[in-house]
Amino acid sequence: MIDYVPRRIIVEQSIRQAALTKKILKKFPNIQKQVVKKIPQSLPGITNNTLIISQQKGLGLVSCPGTPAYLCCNYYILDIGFGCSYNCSYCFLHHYRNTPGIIIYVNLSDILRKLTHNITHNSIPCKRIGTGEFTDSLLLDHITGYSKKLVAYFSDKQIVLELKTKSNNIQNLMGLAHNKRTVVAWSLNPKPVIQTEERAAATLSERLSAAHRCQQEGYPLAFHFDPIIYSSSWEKQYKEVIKKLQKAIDQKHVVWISLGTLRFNPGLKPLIQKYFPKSKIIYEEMIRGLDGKFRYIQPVRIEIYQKMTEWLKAVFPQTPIYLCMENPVVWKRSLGFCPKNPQDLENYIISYWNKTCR
Amino acid sequence: MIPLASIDRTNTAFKISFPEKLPHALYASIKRIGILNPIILRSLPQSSLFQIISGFRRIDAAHRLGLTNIPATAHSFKELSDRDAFIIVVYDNSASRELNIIEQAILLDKLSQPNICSEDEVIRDFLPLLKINANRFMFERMIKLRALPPAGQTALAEGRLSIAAGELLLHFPPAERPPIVSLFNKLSIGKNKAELLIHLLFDITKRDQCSVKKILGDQIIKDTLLNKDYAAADKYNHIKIYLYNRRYPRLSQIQTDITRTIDKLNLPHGIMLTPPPSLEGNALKLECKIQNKKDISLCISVLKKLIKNSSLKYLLKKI
Repeated sequence: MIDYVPRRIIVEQSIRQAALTKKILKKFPNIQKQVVKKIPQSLPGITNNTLIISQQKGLGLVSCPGTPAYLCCNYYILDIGFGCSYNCSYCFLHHYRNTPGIIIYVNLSDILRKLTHNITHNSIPCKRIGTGEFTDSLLLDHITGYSKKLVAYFSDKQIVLELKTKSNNIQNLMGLAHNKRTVVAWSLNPKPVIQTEERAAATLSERLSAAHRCQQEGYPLAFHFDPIIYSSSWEKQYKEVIKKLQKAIDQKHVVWISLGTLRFNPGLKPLIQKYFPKSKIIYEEMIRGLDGKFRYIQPVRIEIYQKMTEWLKAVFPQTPIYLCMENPVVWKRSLGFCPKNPQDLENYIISYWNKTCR
Repeated sequence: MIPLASIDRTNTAFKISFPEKLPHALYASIKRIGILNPIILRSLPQSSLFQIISGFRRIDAAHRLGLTNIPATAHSFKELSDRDAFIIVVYDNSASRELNIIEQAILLDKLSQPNICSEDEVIRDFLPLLKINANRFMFERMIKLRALPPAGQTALAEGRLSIAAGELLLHFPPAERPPIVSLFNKLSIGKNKAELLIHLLFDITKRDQCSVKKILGDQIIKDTLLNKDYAAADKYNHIKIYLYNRRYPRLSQIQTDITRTIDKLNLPHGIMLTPPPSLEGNALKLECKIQNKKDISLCISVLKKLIKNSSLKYLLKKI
């Protein structure tokens, strides 16, 4: 996988003198740069190759938007950036954001200061915080070096940091005193799906060998089969991924695994048709779920989860396997139980980590 | 009054009316009371004939009625630029009628030709005149509609096809578009129904890698269209079900199975059992209409029998 290199940089005037801004500008001396007073809603010519250097003005901590009528896992997001250059066809960001371009907030120390304040005052109602919701956790890590700071910060906290990625950009994670408080997680999909739907992300073998290296560094690991893409050969494809995962990773290190089938806002469908005309994923049988999103019909989802759980449990017998954004019926029919609420689900997710990493 | 013979009817630079057909109401009105609003003309250098700015259809009617002179206002070429002429076209038309979507597209297309207006000017000055949001997305959206086959443009102009459906039609290869519009015309369907069919057709062609021609050439569709016992609405329903089943084979099979099983329960009028919407969840909805104690007793006895019914067990397992 080729590391992200911007072709254009836009800097918000107020953070022009910030240390990270200077570092980034120095790192890419020959790239077109533009300083703006305020990042506008849209700028002509902005693509994913445009790096927008900005600052996080809010708390920097938001709860996962979740989706109505489906069980959420009480996940919180540390908002360190916005946008992604992996350009996965199904990504909600295509519909969610107004303009392309990758935004990076250079004031991480402010974000962490506010977080410390909240932790001190016990106002963080969660046990896991991730950075991989509005961007890939490690997409820009070779530019920002944020993982080093985040791993160090969380190493003495009672909250677990999850770095979720589709990359193999893990150099900065090597040799850090993580104290098992950082879980490095990969989204996984079969090779044919990666080749057609996640074309700019790392290959499956790159992801697995990166996970293997993190395992050697003693990091707890997590894997997300999300979105699972249904096709006539899905069983063969996902069995193959699990087989490779088994070969690459020691089951003891895997602290949670999530499963989620493809789902998307109706507004995303025309965008996939327009920007990914070769993608066939939107033409499977889907219904409008209780949250209005397109998703596979319930019997198909149950079948997928039942089989995936069976295959995964055979390899990772102790690892909690959970469903992302599913209804109680699907939970019960797939896994045999359903957590009562988001906190209950979170306790389940983190149970194996609690047992082995605390 | 200006002689009709002094007007160049072949110069259609400012013509935006669509479809071309002269509306009967306009013809009848001019026949009875004549032309009330003067036609707007412009003189042209190196020509003895006037160019029509606004009033093409009125002139057409006048010609058919054999009128020799018509009321008109003539501007000189120097005093009326192309840009200003188009402003007159918009205002003169909007005074008497709403421009349909294709007429708006034609207007925007003509305005953005070289030497008239830049695209930015069209977006800034003309979209608001047409009550369209002044942005490039809307401009491009409108202009694209001109690529539809004539029958598709007519359907849009007459409100039988939505803009969204028109846009989706443009995703099909050009040769595939006319048979789809022809199907809509044969079924005499409105916007929403057309949009549903076009979505089903598009998804099937993409998923199965087949042509519209192949789908519409299926014997079931052919037989449905030729069936003289079916009214247009029946034909539409049959074709919609056929396409839906083809697009959602597994879902439609489950839905059919559930419907048949509910039918087997033979529930009396006023008691209804329905599966969850989109088959999400595991609860059937039971509705009972009651007007008096007798209805309640009936309801209770039906429910008692229902508990023992194996079809109900099957249904609860199925959802």
